[in-house]
Amino acid sequence: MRINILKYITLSGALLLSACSSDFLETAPSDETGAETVFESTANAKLVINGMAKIMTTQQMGSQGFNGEGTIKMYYGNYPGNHFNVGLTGWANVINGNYYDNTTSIYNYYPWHYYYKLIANANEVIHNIEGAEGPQNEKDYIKAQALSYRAYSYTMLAQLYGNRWEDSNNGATKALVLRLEPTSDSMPLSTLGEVYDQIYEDLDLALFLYDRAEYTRTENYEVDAKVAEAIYARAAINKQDYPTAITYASQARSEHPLMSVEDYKAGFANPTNEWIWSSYGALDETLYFYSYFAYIAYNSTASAVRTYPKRMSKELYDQVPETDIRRDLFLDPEGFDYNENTGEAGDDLDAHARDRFPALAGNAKVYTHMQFKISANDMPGVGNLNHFRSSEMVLIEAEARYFENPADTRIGDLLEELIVSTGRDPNYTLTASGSDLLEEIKKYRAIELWGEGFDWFDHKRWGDPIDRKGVDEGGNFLRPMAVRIEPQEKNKWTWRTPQRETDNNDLID
Amino acid sequence: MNVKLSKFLTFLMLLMISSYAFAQEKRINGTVTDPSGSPLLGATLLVKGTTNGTSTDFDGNFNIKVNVGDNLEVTYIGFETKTVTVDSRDTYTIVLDPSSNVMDEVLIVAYGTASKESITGSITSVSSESIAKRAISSATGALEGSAAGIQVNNTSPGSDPEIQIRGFTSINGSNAPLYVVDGVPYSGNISDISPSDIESISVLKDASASTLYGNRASNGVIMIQTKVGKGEGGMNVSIKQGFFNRGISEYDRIGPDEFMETMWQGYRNSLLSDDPSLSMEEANVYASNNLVQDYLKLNIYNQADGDLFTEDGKLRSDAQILDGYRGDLDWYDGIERTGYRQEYNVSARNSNDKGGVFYSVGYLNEEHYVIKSDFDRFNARLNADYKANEWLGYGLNLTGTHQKATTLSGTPSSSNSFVNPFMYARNIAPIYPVYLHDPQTGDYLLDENGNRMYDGGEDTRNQYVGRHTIWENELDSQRSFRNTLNGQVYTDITFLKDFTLSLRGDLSVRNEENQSYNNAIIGDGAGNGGRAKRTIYRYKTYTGQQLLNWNRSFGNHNLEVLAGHESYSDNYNYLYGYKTNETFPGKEDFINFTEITNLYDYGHSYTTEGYLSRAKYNFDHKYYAEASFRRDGSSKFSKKKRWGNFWSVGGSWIVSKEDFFNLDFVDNLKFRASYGEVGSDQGIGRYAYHALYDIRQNANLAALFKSQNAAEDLIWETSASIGAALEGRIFNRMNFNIEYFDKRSQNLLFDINLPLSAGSTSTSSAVSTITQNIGTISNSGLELSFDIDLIRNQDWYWNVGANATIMKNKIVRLPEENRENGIISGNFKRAEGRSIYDFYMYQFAGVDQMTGEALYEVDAEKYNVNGSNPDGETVPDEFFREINGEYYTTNTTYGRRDWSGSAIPDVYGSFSTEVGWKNFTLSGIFTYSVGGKVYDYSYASLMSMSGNPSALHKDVLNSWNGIPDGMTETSADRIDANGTPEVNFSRSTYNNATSNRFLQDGSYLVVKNITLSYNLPQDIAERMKLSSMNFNIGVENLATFTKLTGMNPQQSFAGSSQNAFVTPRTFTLGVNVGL
Repeated sequence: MRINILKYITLSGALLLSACSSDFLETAPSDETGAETVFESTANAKLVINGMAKIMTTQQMGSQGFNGEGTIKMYYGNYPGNHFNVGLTGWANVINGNYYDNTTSIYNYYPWHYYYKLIANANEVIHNIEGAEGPQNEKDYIKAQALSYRAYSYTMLAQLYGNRWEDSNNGATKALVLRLEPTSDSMPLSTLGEVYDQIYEDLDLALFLYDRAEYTRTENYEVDAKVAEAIYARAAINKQDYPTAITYASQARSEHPLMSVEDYKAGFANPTNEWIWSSYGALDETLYFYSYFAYIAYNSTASAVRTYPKRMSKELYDQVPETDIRRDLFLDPEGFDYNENTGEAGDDLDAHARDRFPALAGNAKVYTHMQFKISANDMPGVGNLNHFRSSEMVLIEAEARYFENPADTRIGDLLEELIVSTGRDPNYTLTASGSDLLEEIKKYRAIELWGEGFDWFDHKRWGDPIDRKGVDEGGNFLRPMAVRIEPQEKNKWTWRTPQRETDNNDLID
Repeated sequence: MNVKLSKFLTFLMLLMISSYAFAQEKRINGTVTDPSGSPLLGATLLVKGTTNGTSTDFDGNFNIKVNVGDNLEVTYIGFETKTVTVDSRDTYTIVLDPSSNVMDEVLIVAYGTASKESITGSITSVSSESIAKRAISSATGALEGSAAGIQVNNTSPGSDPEIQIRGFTSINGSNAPLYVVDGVPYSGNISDISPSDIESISVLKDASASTLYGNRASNGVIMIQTKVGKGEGGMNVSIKQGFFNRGISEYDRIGPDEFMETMWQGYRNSLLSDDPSLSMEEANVYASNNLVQDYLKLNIYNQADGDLFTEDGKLRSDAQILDGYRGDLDWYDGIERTGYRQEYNVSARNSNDKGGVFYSVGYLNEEHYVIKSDFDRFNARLNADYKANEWLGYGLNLTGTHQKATTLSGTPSSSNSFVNPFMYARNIAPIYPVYLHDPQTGDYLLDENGNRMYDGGEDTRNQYVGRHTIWENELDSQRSFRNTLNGQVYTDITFLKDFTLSLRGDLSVRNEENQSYNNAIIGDGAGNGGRAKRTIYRYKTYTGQQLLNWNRSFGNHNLEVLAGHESYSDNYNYLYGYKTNETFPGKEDFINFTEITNLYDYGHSYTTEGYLSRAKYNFDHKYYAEASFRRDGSSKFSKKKRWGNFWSVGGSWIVSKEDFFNLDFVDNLKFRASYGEVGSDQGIGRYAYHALYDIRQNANLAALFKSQNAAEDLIWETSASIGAALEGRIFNRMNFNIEYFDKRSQNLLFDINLPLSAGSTSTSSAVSTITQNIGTISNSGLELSFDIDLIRNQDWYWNVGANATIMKNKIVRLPEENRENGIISGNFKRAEGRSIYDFYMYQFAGVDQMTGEALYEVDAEKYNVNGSNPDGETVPDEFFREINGEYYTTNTTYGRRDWSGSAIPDVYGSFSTEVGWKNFTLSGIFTYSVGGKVYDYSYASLMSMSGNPSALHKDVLNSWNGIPDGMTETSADRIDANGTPEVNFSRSTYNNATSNRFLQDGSYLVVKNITLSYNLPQDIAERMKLSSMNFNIGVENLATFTKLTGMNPQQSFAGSSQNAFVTPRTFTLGVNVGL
């Protein structure tokens, strides 16, 4: 009996004191990893650089169409531009720029969300990379890559949320939060000038580090010195800093010869020599219906393409010479039946289009002037997405030279290099001069880069109005989109600081 | 000594015999029944003042020797004790009334049971009888309206209702209570447990009652006890059959004719505002000629596109909808149906003095009122216990369920999804048909087999092109399969007389597989040649418990002490696979697809550990005191901040047991009070303290990006609650309970929004957050409840009851840096002195009767309005209005936000009534809520119009349409505060901006349940060789009354209503047979 009691006491005592082992309460996820692991080594830190590449092609905010960089091109560069025609009357508010000062609209805060997400990751790398294990040259180029991403993000943000340079009182107007460390406290807006100064500084340091590390990349989606130079050129042309733009536009394309006619007609879904930087895309990493290609690629099976094919404005199309191969990439309705009000093809035009472009989905709609420039590798919209190519650099240089000296003979050489030497229009000869020469540069920029997300940005930079012609005015836009928007209207095309920033940042009112 | 004893005994016997001989002794017999005539087995009969007694047998019969004039006391648990004086009769029928004196009730409490009398905290319970009456798939649905302080929201079919106890303790996400099933924390789905297996559900509302579940108890605890084998053996069969339909009607939307005219106006007005050079006549003509072509695409009328409208935008009298389109414009027709519900349960129990066993099997099949939303459940349970000897008891519970559900994306989180049938059918413009028609004649187009063909909209619609909710729903499938196996073993070892050691182990494993298939013809799968997705969840949860109890009574002192240890581990593995490009249509197996687009899995785990103790003391069952302490650790916190201490004290006083208390009409009066602090780690993710990077893939290489900011200093959120209550019974007819509570959550776990420029920590929304412990919230209020027997006689009884919770939610403290400006989150702003759901919105001032524009109050603090802020920007002229000396803006960007009321009701509760007549009982439960606002997203969207055709609410017909007669620039009534702005495609975004204009009154009354039941008289049942038989007819959610028709006021506790499933109305007929 007594023995039993002792037994019970021992038993219960043991059980009551039987705390779990000391690591019972230590848990960690397997689909995420801790910051300490990430910056443990340069090998791991490289994966954050790759993470930034991924953010550029990741669905954002769970909302249709928000896919990283492709959305910037589509909703911010193409849709509200002058030469991009999409028959979505319900999108007239986006297309006509009615949300610039709607600080709660998803269109208002998307670029802010997206680019600051890139910046936050870049800041983590820049801040932590020195402490990682690994060779110095790896630390150097990883840091250079992070600086390149940061400079790119600020360059794009400045064009959206900053005034056009000539409205900025030489850079004195407020533009962005210039966040350079992984912090989260309130910060005031910096001026547009300060933002560009920082972009330059980041790129200077990046170029120095790429050089010191003797970095050469292996894949087109990686960033290297040429990418940094291309960013430099784009930033400088927007800042109207023409000498800098000339220098870097020329350097950036030095290893990327302009593409051939064959490459030009291959669908813009795979890197060519000319591509300076792009995002990777493949079927096993598909973005489904969110991707850029699911909104534009002519062969896409997405209904956004099949029912609303993307078209060139009739005014621009009519300016493309008959001998230019780029004219072939848009559907000429001449001599065929179509609905004059909507542009929808009649039976013969429809058949003609399918005959020329058999990849067109069977249930896709055919419209006049629809594009066949961009196609997808896989469905519904898989492709590699180009961000910088040498043609843009040529056009930046030409534009910069024009503003430096309209009589510079290199301008003609540059245009001929782009148009004639590449075979895009073997019969082209430059005759324009003076202000017509600027118009010529603008026209070829519009033709060469159509659909690649430059249209609105260019018009904003130039201070040119958007002037779309409706059918009754000889154009091909539906009435709700056939508007004229002056450069000084609509908050000077400057997106206002989103409420998601100002509500949580006491230093901005 | 032996001799002495025997002498004494003999003397005693002699004494007894002699007294026996002098009395008029006789033997009587009879039955003890309840008011409905059902026999009460095991009722105790005792001759007062003696030890002479007996109890009734299985049929409620008794037989006892008594003397005339003896007082026979009849007692039965749950019934009023009755005293019968023996007279000359030999046969007695004794009817006991059900006890409303709940003081004897035994309730399930944390780690044990307790008599209601002894409880110092706030506990209410629902019995198996009230659950059995209801046609519910999840037992916790029966809590709605059952007691004060409990709010229940409805969700989609097959899922568990959301429950909230005494307000909002946490801002971050979940305010859901902890579920404890058979003594251990439960993380599975309540709908896995068959309601008919449940003996009781107890709700622990305050800290004193729940401290012992310290770590997760701050939102209250719902304890579910399943049935066990006890009492006489028996078998029960119950069958329920019923049908479903939609319990809340649709919003009042306009039909095709009014829609056409409204769209015409919207277009005409936008032409005028976009191009001021246009004359009214030109705009009218242009709109008439181009509305169909530019916006609508389809013309279902018998006139040409340009011949539909008169000059002022009315449909011409000869414009008629083509016959073929009529009857094909209501999309709900193809989505809704009359659903069917069937439920079968068989259970049996038997026991003896060594132990008992309860076993049951059940089957439930629900076909909901929306096509392709079905639920099937098979369940079986075995609960057995055995007492090996006086010191060792042992038991085992084993449950298995298999569930199959066909589901639709119809929850509020998919409120904007094309595949949400409510979003689609509600918002599609009333001019678009379901099927293809010949546009000339309107006749249906038929395929080669003579069948109608669905219209995917590619040629006909300017809305939802390539999408078709009915067609997609027909071809697609979305199913889930769930298998659950739950086992629990326990043993109780009694030793040293007063000690009991209980060891309990519980293991729950769950596998859930969700399959979805999208066809290759229409919708999401069309672009990929069809696609299929699998998500497989594997859950494992286990709990280990070691408890030591010590009970001791010394005279009038009764003491009970408990100490224990508990560990809990919850982990799951998630596998996700995706394939595209189907071989054969309609086959959802992965082998039918040829491209892999996604395949990954990962695992998560969460663990907690706690040490607990409790002491209970009472003196003479009159004064009670109780104290508990618990120390908990959670894996969600960093090592240095992991452990928290929680405790409570409580006391109660049975005033009516005092000698000085001599109010005859008071049968029972108890006062109780308690204070305690419990913890919560629910508001945060499993890995809340880590700095984390997402792992993705780019170019076949891992891609990492930041997904969470580190929060090493996070500590337990604690909720301190104080409560006091007075409860009792008077006039032997009325029970009442008045309770005050104040629950304060401190160190709230909260995701603080950082400036967005700090970088989004999410890809799914544009927010940069960090989790912090911030501030204090209080929920204080009064809970009142009563019920009264208005009639109680031989044939009739009528009881009515009601309860109300009057609650105030208030943020008591915020961190220093947020004190001045508060924390803005969506439509809410958190500020000291305000509730956590106080709307903070742009202020709609009214409609300018000269222009039809919506006017909002202008922000004169931020912008320079006539010198109000000389350093600020001015509001662009385009959006600035000065009317009669006051300033307004037409664009909320320049508007002022202000407090706009709270989503939290002022008072909520329920009424109930029960009428009995002979064997019939009719009962009803009504729930209500008063005050509290709702931002109705569905309504706001039905009131807005851009160029995208989309259904419109009939209130749009009140839109401003031209300057009213006599109105001038300076008229005093130039602004109509209740006006509806003009319809205008291009100005809709300003006119219908998110503002307080769309806030609705969230008050509601719901006829929750009406049941009529009938017990077959005992003699008839017996003739049918049955022990009992009962029929009932019931309806759940008979009606919901709200100010705005269509709104579902019970969709969210946070004041929003979106496109989602609405409450089903369920009619059921049931029969229960006791064998």
